[in-house]
Amino acid sequence: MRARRAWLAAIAAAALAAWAAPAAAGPADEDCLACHSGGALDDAKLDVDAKILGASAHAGMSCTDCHADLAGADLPHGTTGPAACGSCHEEEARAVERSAHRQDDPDSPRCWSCHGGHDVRRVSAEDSRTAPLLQDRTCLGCHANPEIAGRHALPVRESAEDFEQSVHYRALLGGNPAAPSCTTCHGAHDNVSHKDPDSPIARPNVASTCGMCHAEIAQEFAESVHGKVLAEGNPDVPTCTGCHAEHAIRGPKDPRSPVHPSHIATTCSHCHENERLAREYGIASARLRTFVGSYHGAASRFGDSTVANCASCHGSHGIRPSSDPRSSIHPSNLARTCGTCHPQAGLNFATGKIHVRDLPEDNYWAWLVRRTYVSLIWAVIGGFVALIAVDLWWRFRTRRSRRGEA
Amino acid sequence: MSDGRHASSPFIGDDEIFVRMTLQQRLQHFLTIVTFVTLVVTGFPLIYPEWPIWSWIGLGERSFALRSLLHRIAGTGLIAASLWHVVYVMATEEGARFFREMLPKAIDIWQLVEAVGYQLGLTETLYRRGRLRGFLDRRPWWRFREPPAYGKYNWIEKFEYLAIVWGNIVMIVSGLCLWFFEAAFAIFPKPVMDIVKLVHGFEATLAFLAIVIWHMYCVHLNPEAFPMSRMWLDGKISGKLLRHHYPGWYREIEAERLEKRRLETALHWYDREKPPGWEGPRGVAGAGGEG
Repeated sequence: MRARRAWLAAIAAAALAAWAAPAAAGPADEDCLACHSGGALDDAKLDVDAKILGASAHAGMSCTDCHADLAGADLPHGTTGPAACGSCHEEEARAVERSAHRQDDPDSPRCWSCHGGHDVRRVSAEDSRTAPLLQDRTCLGCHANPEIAGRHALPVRESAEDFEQSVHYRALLGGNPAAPSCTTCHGAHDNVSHKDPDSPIARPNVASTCGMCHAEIAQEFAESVHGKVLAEGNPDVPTCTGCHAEHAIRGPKDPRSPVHPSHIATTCSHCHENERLAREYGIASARLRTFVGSYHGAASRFGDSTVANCASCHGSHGIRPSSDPRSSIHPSNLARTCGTCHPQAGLNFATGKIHVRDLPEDNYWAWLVRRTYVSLIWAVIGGFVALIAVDLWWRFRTRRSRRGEA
Repeated sequence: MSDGRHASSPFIGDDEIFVRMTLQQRLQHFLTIVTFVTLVVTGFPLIYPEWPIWSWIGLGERSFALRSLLHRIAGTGLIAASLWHVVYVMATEEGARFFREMLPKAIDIWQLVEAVGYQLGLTETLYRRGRLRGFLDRRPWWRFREPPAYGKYNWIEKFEYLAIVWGNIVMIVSGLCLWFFEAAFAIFPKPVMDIVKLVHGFEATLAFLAIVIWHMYCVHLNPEAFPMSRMWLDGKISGKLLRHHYPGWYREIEAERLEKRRLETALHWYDREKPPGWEGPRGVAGAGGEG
């Protein structure tokens, strides 16, 4: 769309230039290039390569189409203002003025910071700086620059490498045209801080942003306990990025992914083992500890990814509380849930608690057995150690007295 | 321990070799060692997954399934060792005798008291300082002047035997429940299975500590045997050590031999003198034909 408009603009500009040339008093392109090429000026930055310009999206446009303030100027000219991109790209220019990149700061990126200057490419061109595969490097030119990031407190937590290892970048590499790059989630000309409630990456909007591609999952999430509480405006509940990370999103089969089976328990524990959250929302405590103490937990710790993790029983996007009859851990569904891995699982699987804490109210007899065994072990081993100590002391004493006798 | 206290017997040479652990017993013991060590190494990762030792021995994603398989193989080995022992005790005379001699008696408890009392030497010290004279003169055994005269198996060995019998029963039953947990779940509800799992882990911990601390010290690591007793390999003990450590058993052997010698001497005499009514040795092996 934009490309076509650029073409039309270029053609129109060329036609206009051809028609108006005899009448206009401004410099022709040749006049400009007389100084701005071949190192005629002291500053090499002021050189323009006609070939590069000819290969750009603006090929055929005249210099003064963009450097409009020089139209009709006497040569040689003095300092000029910035290129007037907005004169053609009005909508984009307006969007930028409302965005986090509005042009009121010397650090703010200019049109050419992202799109290139004389070498500007169409967005659809593979070698465009805004092409999906190259976009992250373009954005990170500023966002990973410690000076700029420091001056503006930019939330740079992940590097280009993080995004480039993500499942999204891999999909881009694999030629998936629907895979997201920076602007898919952050917006392009209109991108605003995540603190802005209208931002597509503001917490309440993250799920619908991801849902642009992952629609079914977004729907499932919206109906889950997390999604419902999020919709109420709760700031503590996780949205997509809470579990999947932001830029470094990896597939669940990638061992480095926070949602890989061996990491799920840790990921869920960020909130579910958090004392403040547990206190505030009455989240059941010691889920992680009881999981780690189970066979599932121990096996998972050693990297066995076939064993059950939090998501195996609780679900992932559509987690519901156990009181919900549609929950996979509702007592009436437990035998079926456990039966996914244990086909012989009978109704006894659903008797008693699954996350058994070391508390009399969870399993009184288990609590008692544990206490008895701990006391027994201390008593027996303590007794052994005492007997050994007595034996060693006696040996030491008799050896000394024997030596004394001799 | 008892040097100079028990005179050596003319019937038992100090360098004579006695078999205290028969080949059968050594093989059973060896199978138990191998299976026990394997069970500990392959089982403890589940009870104490946070120990760094597991990554040192390379337990990870791939070896985890092997751990599980080895644990079951070793478990089967321990069951085999236990069944072997049951058959040994029930079907062989040697085994039946071993079991009889291993059964704890009241004297074992007294000998435990004696052993500690002797090593501490508290009452004897008090007596020498003139305290408790009346009491200790009337009951001199409370002075613990001598170490206990152990028989073939002392309280330490009997306790360990009982512990391993009890421990094996607990571990095998709970282990089978965990191995075939789906079948076990058909019988027991979840709270019982929780206890089964707890018991399996705690009993293992208790057994491990008892073996590493107590059994190792008593058998190998005490200053007398350090660094290792060869008993578990060849089962042999010299007459001198026998007299030293198991004086009760030493006296038993002595008494047996004395009795045999008496009988032989008597038969010899009868054979030579042929008193009226003597019809010659009747089925007494080695008694006749020496005249």
